[in-house]
Amino acid sequence: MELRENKSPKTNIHKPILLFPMNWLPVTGLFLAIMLLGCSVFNGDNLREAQFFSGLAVYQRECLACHMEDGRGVPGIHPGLVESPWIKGSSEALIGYLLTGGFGPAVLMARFDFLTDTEIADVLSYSRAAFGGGIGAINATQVASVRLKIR
Amino acid sequence: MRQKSIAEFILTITVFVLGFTGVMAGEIQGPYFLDNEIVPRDPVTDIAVPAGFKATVFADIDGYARHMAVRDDGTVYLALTVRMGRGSNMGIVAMQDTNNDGVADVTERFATTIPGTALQFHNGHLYFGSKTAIYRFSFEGNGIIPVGVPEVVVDGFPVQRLHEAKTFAIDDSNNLFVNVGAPSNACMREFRTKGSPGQFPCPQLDVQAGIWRFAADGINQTQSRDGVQVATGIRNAVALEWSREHQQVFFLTHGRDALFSLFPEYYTVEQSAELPSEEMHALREGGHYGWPYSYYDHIQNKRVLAPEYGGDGTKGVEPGLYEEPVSNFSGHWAPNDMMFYKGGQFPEYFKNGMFIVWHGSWNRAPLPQDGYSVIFVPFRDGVPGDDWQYFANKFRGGELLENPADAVHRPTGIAEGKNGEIYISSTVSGRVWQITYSGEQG
Repeated sequence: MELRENKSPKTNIHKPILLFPMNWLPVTGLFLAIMLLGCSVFNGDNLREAQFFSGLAVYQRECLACHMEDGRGVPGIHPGLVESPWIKGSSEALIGYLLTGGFGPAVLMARFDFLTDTEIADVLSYSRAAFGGGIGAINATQVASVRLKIR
Repeated sequence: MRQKSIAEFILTITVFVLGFTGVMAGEIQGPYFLDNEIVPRDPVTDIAVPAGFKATVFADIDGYARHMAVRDDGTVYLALTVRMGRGSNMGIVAMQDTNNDGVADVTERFATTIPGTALQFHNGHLYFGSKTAIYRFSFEGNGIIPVGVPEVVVDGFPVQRLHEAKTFAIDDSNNLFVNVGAPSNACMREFRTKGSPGQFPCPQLDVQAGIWRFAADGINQTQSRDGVQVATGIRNAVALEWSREHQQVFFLTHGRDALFSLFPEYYTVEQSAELPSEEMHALREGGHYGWPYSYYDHIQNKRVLAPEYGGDGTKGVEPGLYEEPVSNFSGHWAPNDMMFYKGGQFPEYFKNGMFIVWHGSWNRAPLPQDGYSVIFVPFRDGVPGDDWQYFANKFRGGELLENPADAVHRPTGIAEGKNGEIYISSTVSGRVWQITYSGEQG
């Protein structure tokens, strides 16, 4: 009985205290998720954490427009990176794919050979960490050697 | 240091979201204004319509639904396509609501081997636009399934993976206008490649990116032999319609993508999300509509030189070179169909005005995706007003949509029924809604 009396008429009073408009929720949630992911994947490893965030910056600049923030792509237009065989396959093949471009179901992916070795290493390492279950980071030396081979 | 830049990024995104809400709040309120903030999404139909209107789920079809046409007896025909690996069925679905409860109770399929988008009745024939041809079907008596094999009206359009839907309009003088979409984003030398210049002249304009005219009653025509190019520089006019009232063909274009990702030196993420305009045009024979050399910018209110052709986001084009739009809308909303309302069921306000169906964006990330709605544009003296309003909304589901994959419905086609009711179709869900007007509020 006491509980019930306390409850009903007072709901209005709590409304103004809602600091957090509900429509911000997905955006903020996503950032929390990325930060948490960053923390849990790297566990204090400074070098790789730095690579994760510089890779994220490259991703946002070069990849997000098509593959989307969540890496799931646009159905029927741009393939997702989550569960992509390229992300999970060999590092050499993945680097080569980015350097030369390739085919999707509807559109071609442009080649990204204008990125520096470090940028490619960072963005691929980020993509593997964020969308590929965290398998195998890539370093700039690997990118440089694939670039030489392609030439 | 990293923490600081993340905080800054969160702040930026927050500003975007607030800005976005501000834009929404700034809409002009027409007499049947659908207030997106307060009108709830109906749990049965999944959409919201203005007070006085009623939506029902007319049918849930297994397939990637496209445009519709309604026969004089009220039978609703729906085109199904398979594109980019999506869609489970092809051809045309015929639907009838024999007990007038707003739900189809007869459903039959035909032409199940042809994927297509466009449908329209003309002189008793059902015209059907596939990816490379226009067909027409003939009926006998009240049969809802056509008889015999379809006649080929026009064939021989180029095979293309992108913008392949052959939508069309037929005027009162036996002219059939067919949209042939551009096979690329902006005719760059290398497809969607950073820094790649545009091809000049763009060779795609020879047989694509324009509107071709044929004889509506002709048979076995081909684009190269019988087609007359009446307009060029049109990236993709999926929404293309003849208005008898205004004696004019109108169309809306899907504007180009990726201004920021291809040219970050000239565009911000926000500009790239909002630009270029989705343009509405009145077809003028011989007109050049600007693609790929230019696009319309509704923020600067002028036609701007495309960055592939020396533009920098502000440089304009020589006046008179390209047609000016009669109206324009926010970028990437993807106009997939439009219709002039001719019926007598809806209030007089709607008569001869235009409904536009927006399939919804993918190219506004990282800003929220938008479109995913049906709007109404009033026309006065043959000119579209700026006081457009939402007519049906909430198709996408959640309030903020980041990835189009999460959209529950994506509206794509619209048609008017025999009693002035309208039908709306959705690609990804295959749903068809019927919307009627009763005038009863609430």
